[in-house]
Amino acid sequence: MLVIENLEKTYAARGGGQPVHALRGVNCTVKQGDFFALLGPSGCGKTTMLQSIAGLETPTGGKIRIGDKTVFNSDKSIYVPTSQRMLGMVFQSYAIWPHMTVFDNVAFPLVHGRHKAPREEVRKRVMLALERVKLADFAQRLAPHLSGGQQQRVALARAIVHEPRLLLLDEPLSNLDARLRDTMREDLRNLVKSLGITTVFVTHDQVEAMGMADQVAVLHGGSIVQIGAPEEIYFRPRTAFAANFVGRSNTLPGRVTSVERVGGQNLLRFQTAIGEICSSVASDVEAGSEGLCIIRPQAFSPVPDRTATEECANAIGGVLSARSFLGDTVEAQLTVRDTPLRIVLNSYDTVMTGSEMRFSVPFDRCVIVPAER
Amino acid sequence: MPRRRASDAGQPWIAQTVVLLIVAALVIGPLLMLFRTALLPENSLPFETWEFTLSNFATIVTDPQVLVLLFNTAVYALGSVVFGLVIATVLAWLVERTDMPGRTAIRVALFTWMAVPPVILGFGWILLINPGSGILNALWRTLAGTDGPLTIYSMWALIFITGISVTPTAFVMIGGLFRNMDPQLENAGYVHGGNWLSVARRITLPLLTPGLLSVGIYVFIAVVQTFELPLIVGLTARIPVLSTRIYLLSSPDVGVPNYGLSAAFGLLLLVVAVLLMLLYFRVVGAGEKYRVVSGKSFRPRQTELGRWSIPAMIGTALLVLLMILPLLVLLWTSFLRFYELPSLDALSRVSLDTYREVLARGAVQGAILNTVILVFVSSTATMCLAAVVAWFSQRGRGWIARSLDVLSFSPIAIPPIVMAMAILLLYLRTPLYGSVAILILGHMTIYLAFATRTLSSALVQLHKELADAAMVSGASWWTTLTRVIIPLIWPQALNGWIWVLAHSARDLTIPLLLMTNSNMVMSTVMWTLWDVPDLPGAAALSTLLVAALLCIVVPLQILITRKSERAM
Repeated sequence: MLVIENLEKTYAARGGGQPVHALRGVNCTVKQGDFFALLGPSGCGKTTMLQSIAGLETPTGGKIRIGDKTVFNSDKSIYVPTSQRMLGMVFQSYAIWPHMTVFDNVAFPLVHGRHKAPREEVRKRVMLALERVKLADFAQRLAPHLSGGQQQRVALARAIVHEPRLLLLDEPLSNLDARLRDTMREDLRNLVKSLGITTVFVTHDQVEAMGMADQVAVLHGGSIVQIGAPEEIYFRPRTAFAANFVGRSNTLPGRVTSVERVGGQNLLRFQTAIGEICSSVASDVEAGSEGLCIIRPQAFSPVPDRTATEECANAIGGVLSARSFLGDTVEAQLTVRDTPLRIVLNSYDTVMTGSEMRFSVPFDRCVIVPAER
Repeated sequence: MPRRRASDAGQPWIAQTVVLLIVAALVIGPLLMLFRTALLPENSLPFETWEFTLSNFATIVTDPQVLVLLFNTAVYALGSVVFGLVIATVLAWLVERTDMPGRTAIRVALFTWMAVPPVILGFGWILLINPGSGILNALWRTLAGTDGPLTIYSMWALIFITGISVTPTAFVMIGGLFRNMDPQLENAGYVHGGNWLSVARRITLPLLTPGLLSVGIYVFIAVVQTFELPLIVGLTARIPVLSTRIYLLSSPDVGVPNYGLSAAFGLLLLVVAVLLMLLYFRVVGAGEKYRVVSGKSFRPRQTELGRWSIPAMIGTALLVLLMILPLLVLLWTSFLRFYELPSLDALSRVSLDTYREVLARGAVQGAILNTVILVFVSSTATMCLAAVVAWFSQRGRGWIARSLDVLSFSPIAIPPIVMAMAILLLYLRTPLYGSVAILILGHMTIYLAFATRTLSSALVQLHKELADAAMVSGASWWTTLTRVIIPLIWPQALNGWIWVLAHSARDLTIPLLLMTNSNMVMSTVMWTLWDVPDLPGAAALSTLLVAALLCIVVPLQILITRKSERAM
């Protein structure tokens, strides 16, 4: 549905500074009907990418195709103006026009857009869109008299009323308070999914990206670091950046000593400061190279009996040096040979600071990624 | 699929180019003509010869009179600025920062002052204090028995009148400075042990200084460029300044016009104005350091005047009286058939005969029609052009947007008298010369800078996403501009429209330099009647013009104020 090839955007050097590479050859494909998240810290290029898809920003190079129509191609000098790309977009500020009523705001794409609809149909479709976002009673209200959450829903109604080919969402939840954000997250996903509109969604909040998206693209420094389903990115991060940006992790530097073939899969032996760790997750790191071992704090299971060892699991023992009880979970710090590891335990696991404990970490919960340059 | 420049995302480059060409033709065309003419040999016209000579500049450099001109101009401008700024600062402080009664009335009065043409002020003051029959001098004679000491034809009178006429502009700008100052900065001074005097001296004044300086330079530029008051008052007083010199050379009372020398003087004035403008930008840039404008809203600290409120009110009332006095004199004069001093005897001869007689003249009727066409067309056309220019230069990227920005702003450094002169030279041989259209072109050129600035600053405050949202919804740039942007900034747009309208109506510079029998407007007819002299006739027309402008400006100002207050 949306194909982006080798997209580049460079802002010219200004006032003796270096040119800024906002996008460095980004490639990605979004399937019809998918909910696709662009996740990354501020300055990673995700907004530039969304603006380029919308045509509000002109990339320096690359291609963008929406459906079967090329909307941007730097080689052939193709640039389709924003207004002809048949998009819907929810802006970060919502951009609700304050001089119009809610109805007029939502009707705008039908009245002034590419395919102008007759008056009666406009009324019908606007009211339908407003009902979808549960704002039908507010149609004649002036936009400034709405709360933040209502404005967000008006913006959403305006973005879907003309059934766009592609819906773009620019941090749509970041201006809402925490409680409202939780409910809107589900409402937004359900609404978009029920309409079947392909959606690209920019966020810096990993919870939003994980909770809403079918596919997540993690951006870092103008490049896509990893694309995948939320589970894939969480359990199989391909870089230390992805691992640390999506969820928390323990990162242990070390070296791959050998790669063995065991039971139909590769087993990597990885030497670290806390001893050898085995990983059964596919990795780009070859034997003899430096790398980082990623272990999620939730990967640790306490082993009550100090003698028993589990099949296919690393055994890690150490002193529990700190512990904080958070109610839903217990966060603790395990010190192994002077290296602190962060672990998250079940609230009902009783642990005491200063006690020695042993944990087992299954091989498939340890991920070896390349060392950072 | 059309090929497009990648830098013009979302905006049609054809429309941008057309707008750029229009602005360039308006601004650059006349200037090129001015340069060419300044290099002409004596007694020739542009397009007649290919000869280039520096003789005009040689004349300027060797002429000892030029130093006198520059000195006069400097003394005149400096005097007016100091006088106007002191009054404006005191007034602004009283209105914005104290509890003096009647503050709103004064603010509204000063805002509407732009409806009063400086020409008319000049007429009024001549009637008030001319050495022979000025009303104030006559009053002095009756009371003291000796001849009155006041004379209109002197440098100090010129400075006084100009100072008063620039006060409203300075007041509006300085009022903004006072309003935008965070009172917490001063409160912090009091909390940490400062008294009233030390806070004023160490905190308030230093914070205001960059702002006051930039207002001062701005007004200075305006006075250097001004033409009407030096023409009406200064010529008789034999105080030539640069602007009147340019006029006299191109429209002498006797002999042939010396366009070459006039253009050379025009370039000299242009250079002076551009240098001052650069200085202004430096100071404004430095002022950024002291920016005390913060996003949060606050009520500035109000000083309680206490027993000082009566003297403050009396002082303010006197000032307002001084400003209105010339208008009252003109009103009085317009009711008489022949000018005489106010007296009970004269009161019996008061009638509307002058109005009847003046309005019956075909020339006057034509002038009124021309004026209506001129002011409405030039204000509307200027605002339309400015809206598109501001939109493209704000939202566009690339060199077209930047050139539009610079080109549309540059006329602010071009003195109207120089622009009028340049337009005259450019269109002298075309059918446009002698039509109202040429006056419209002139006013569009000189007011474009103000109109574009007004709309640009309004656009800057609009969130960019409001326009993006329209384009994503499928609207073209034109629909976006007319359906979303203009409805959102209409109070500022209307404000700019009134400003251009009022200035177009009161301007004498452009109509006088481009005057022929067929494109007379009210200001030029007034000036001709005054020259005859038909004082009551000129007074009657002045009164009509001021009354008509007030009828347009005051209700619209009130409407805009109400609207923008409700929006807040």
